[in-house]
Amino acid sequence: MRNVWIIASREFRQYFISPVAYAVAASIYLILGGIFFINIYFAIRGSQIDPDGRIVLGPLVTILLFATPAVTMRLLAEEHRMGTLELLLTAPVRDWEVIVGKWLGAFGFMLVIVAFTWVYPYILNRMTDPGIDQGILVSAYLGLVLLLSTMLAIGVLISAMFKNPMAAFFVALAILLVLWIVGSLGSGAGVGSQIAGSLSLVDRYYNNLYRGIISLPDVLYFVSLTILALVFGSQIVESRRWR
Amino acid sequence: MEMRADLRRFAPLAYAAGLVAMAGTAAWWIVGRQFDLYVRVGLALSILGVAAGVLLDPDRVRRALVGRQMRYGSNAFLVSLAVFGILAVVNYVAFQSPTQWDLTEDKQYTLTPETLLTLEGLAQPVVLKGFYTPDRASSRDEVRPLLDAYQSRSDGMLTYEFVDPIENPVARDQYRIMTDGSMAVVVGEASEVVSFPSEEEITGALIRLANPEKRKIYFLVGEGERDTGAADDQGYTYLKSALESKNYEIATISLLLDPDVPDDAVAVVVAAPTSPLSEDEVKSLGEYLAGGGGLIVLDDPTAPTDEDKPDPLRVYLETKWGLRLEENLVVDFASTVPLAGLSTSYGDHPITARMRNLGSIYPSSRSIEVMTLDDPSITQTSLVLTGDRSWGETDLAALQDRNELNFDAEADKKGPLVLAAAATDSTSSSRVVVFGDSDFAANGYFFQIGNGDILVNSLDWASGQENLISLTPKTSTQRFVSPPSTQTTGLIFLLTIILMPGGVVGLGLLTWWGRRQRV
Repeated sequence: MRNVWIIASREFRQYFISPVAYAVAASIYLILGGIFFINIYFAIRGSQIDPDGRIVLGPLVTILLFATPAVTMRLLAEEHRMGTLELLLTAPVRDWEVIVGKWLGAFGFMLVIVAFTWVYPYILNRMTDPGIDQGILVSAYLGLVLLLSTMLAIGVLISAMFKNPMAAFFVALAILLVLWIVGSLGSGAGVGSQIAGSLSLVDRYYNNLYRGIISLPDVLYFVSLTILALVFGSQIVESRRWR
Repeated sequence: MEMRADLRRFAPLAYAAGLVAMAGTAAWWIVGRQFDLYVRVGLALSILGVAAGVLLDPDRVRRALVGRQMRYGSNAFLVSLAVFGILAVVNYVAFQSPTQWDLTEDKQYTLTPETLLTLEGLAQPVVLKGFYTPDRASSRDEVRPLLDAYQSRSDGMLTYEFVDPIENPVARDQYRIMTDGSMAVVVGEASEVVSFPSEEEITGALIRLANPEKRKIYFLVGEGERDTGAADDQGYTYLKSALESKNYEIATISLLLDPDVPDDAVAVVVAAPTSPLSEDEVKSLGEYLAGGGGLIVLDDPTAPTDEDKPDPLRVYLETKWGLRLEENLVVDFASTVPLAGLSTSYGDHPITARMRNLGSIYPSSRSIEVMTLDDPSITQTSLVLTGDRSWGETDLAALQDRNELNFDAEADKKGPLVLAAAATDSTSSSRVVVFGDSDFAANGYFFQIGNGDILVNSLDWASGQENLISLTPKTSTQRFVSPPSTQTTGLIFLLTIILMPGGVVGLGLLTWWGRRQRV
């Protein structure tokens, strides 16, 4: 377990000297800030704003679709390309510790970015009488964190498969996109359609957690998908030993 | 040995042929979706190809099966499969009995105590079937948390499913689904359709289905009333189906033949008689109401010729219930057709409370005057109101002969006009609803905006079925965002647009600078 922490904290610190991480953070804040400010701006010109703390959450979820592959793409692919993965694997570290550590580092970094987005609902709360519905806000953010953990785990898994970070980026993006839109197949009523619908990342998020309902099946779904991606990732790293 | 080595070279070729055959077969099957001759031949070819590959070079297969890669590979595969299996089972179990916590401050997704009591008392398994086309997917997602709550609190007695009425017309017809987005509450053989699935409606349906009793609505016949069996635009078959889907039994009655309204009548409908009812018929209706019944009257503007004789039914409604059907034709310039009254607002009443912002349209209607009565036991409510751009045209001759529509301030009543009104008598607890129009409920108009709903709601109310249960009302916190001052806006701009993204860029530059210095 100590190894996980060492790898995670090293990765976490690594982000703060990575230009990609700064670009991701800056663009997230710029886009969200713009959207938030436009809403406020229209409010002073007479139109009503919804007293809803989730004002930037919808756009944020969409940005994360692109941001998470960018954040995870180099985690293992880079090590592989530079040949440092062999060093890492020969060190007294288990394969799963490498994967979980890398994922945890990325998760920590993204949590820092997400934490600062509380500014927007905080401002809105100050402007609202008697304040926004904070229960919904907590549930929606909890869902966002779960969604983020799943997306990052998938990103780490894909990064473990490739030598080239760009390839990892696009493949992870494609997989997340498929998990994104598979929900629209779920608009039918057949069994296949229901399965497709229940696989969708965004539908799982928006249907309950986003509305203020913490639903055990949804939480389990995100946790399971995270575990599954991390287990698959460790198997792939392990396969480097015997392939 | 030479021979074997030569043959071995063809093994990859055989595998490739097998794979090509397999891919081709799959493509053919995806397009055709039939297990036809080509699919069978293709499958045979792929099996032959792989088998040939194995036979041509058996050593390679043996090496792959017992080799180191296979051993580790199958190990990794089994671990992944085991984790996947465990997680799939855990998810499936959780999915079957969803547990959820409602974090909203107003507890808007938590069921009321009345619903929980109803769910506890369920004696038979219940299935809620929501009929939604993909077009209504957002309403379907909207109602899903409520249904999850029902399912999770029912102790396994209640399940729900969604059906696409276009994909499955048999189920749609079986449960008499008439509009997209309705829900059938199915208990054993019985079912009831709820057109706007909400907690109140679903729980109400559950209670009605748990206490099945005959609910019979009689339509008066004998004076050329609207026909519940006529499927043309003038007929009332849609109304009949809508009522039957709510487990009402529909029958006709002629008070000319038998002056007594049957005891099992929960309501009587008088739908636009073309000639006036007789004194005796109106007397029978009055006696029925005195015993606590429900009456729905749908009238129409009278043709200018038979103005002189008083209509006993209209006299009865005016004297007993204080609802006077005025001799006019509602003209409304808010509607696309000036001779159709468009409801812009509703009175506060159980009938209209369920209209959910749906308007309704009344082609050729007369207006109703709600009069003050001396009898304190009668309470009246105006249900349907037109807007300011309407008036009650009294000069019907001018309209008919010269096609003129002029507002005459002396004779014509200015809008808002009342197009429908309800009244109840507290001594007999009888209920009356009067509409100045009968076309709005005919097949041609039944599905126009809220037309069908307001009439079905009226019948529910008149027959005393509307609030078998009143749920504990949920408080809904009113939140208001006050527009920020110019300074605050500036501060927000500074923080959200400049400081936050700029701070990140600044930190990035600083890091870059620091690292460059070190190098």
